[in-house]
Amino acid sequence: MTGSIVIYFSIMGMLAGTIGMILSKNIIKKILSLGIVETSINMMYTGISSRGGIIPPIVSGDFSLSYADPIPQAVIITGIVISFALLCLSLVLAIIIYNNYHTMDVETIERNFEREEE
Amino acid sequence: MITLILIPVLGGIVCLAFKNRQRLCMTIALATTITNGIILPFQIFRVVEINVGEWGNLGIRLAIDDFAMPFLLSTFFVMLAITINSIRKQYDGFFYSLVLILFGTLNSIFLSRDLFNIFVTVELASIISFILISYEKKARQAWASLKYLLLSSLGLNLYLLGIGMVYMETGSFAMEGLNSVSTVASVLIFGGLAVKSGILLFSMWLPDAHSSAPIHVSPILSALIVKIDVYLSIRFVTFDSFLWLKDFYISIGLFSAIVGAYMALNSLNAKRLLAYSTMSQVGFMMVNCDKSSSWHGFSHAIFKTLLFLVVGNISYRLGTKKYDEWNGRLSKWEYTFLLIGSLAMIGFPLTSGCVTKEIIIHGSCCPWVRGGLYLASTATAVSFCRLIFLRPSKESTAMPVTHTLSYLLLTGVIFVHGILGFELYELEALIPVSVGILIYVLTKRYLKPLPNKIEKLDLSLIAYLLMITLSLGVALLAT
Repeated sequence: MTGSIVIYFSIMGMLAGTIGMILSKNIIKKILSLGIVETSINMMYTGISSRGGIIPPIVSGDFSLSYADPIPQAVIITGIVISFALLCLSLVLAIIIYNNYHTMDVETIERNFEREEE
Repeated sequence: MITLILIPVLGGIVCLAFKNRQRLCMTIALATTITNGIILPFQIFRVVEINVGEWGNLGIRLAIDDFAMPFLLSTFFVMLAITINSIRKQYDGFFYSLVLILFGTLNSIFLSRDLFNIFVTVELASIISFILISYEKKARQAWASLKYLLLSSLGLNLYLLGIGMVYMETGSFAMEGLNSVSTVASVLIFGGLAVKSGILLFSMWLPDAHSSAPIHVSPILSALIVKIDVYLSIRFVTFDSFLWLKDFYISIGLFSAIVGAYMALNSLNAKRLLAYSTMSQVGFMMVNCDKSSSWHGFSHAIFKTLLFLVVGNISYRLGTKKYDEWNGRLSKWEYTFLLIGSLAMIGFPLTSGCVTKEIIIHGSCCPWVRGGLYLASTATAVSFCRLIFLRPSKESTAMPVTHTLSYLLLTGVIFVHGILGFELYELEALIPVSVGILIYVLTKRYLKPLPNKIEKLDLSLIAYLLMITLSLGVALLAT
């Protein structure tokens, strides 16, 4: 029950993040929307692992309890690290772009590139 | 088998430790790559499968078979050529360490057999390629890299959603589970990885990233990073849940082959021309999506590396990427290698491009596909005629030994592959080549660059999401 609710909410969050990536014109906002997408996916894995129960999967000798599934939790730690690295890298790239053009607006930057090419 | 992954990664870590000593790092990079090449023949001719650790179905599974072999070979040759070619360029140790870690990561993608491990290795390869694209820290490179980053991480998040559904349905991340998953999960897995594939409309970040990357990075992007999805698609279509994909790939592959070649035809920048033709060649591979396409991936990696290295070094020497201005300024040797690469690209007999392209054209399912592929290879011939008909200069310019060595290595692979695989029916590849040359001579005045509005960030995002919706529709209709 809890698991399904978390999964549905995380998919909604992912859709919201995707729409934000398309609609916002500011690079930082785009990167933050990407962060929302990534966090939602990470949350979905927590939801997957809690479908069978929400007790932490530390063996106490009592097997009648409904433990959470440890595998998705274990693998998504890697996913969290990767999304952290991606966010850092994208902000670094945004800084490089800002230092050259002194703007964060996508359309202005792309117009600048077109002018350079001509 | 695990040595294929560990040796380059360890070499990369050693390079990172000594990153201020440029000569030492170069030697380490060269030694590691050659060691990998020595180990490779002992590994790739067996079919082996191992589980790392004692976790059974839940652990990391590595295996080697016929599909992976061409990709492992091409990774080795491309990395060797790039390392040799970059000796004169004074890169610091950080560059070599990134390249070596990327080498190990790519090997591990081609060996992995479980879905989550594929996610981790693909993300690692992507992160390294983002850093490599913006290595010279120019604004243009940073923008291309950021565009690639936003699209690619959105796609890989969709992939992660897909494999989460696979886990919910089957209870493990093993690849065998793909035989019995729902259609939505298969669409998400396909669509998520397709952003890296270089198929037209799925990955419109490609022309910018490939054309603005540094000289020795564009070949890695075009020859290896794009092949990740080609390899994974070839692997995935053998599973039952992906049966719809084979028919879908015929149409989008053909579309990408023809339109990509047409866009290449109209570009004035030599690196952009090569980038668009990458899209076209990926289309060629996707039409068949079996073992023949993995060998076309191998030959494409080799001749595209040769072309990108030659074009990059020429444009660095002459200071312009517009090939019109190269006329009469190329040295004889540069022109020779440019000619060999272009001939392999347009599928001239006795080169590797001809062998694999003809196998793909003859293996295609129905006459209209074959006709479309001939049309695409004619358009490729027209676009590469622009490089073939450049005039070399009379006076001789000295070329560095390292450049000659790496070009000779790649040329040797092209001709050995082309002559060993030669069959008489391949002579019919002369038809599109000669028609293409004829069309080029007639129409060369009328070719102008197309507007590249679709490559803008927002539009490429929208195009990508629309294509995923389209594939979802196709998949649901087919099952």
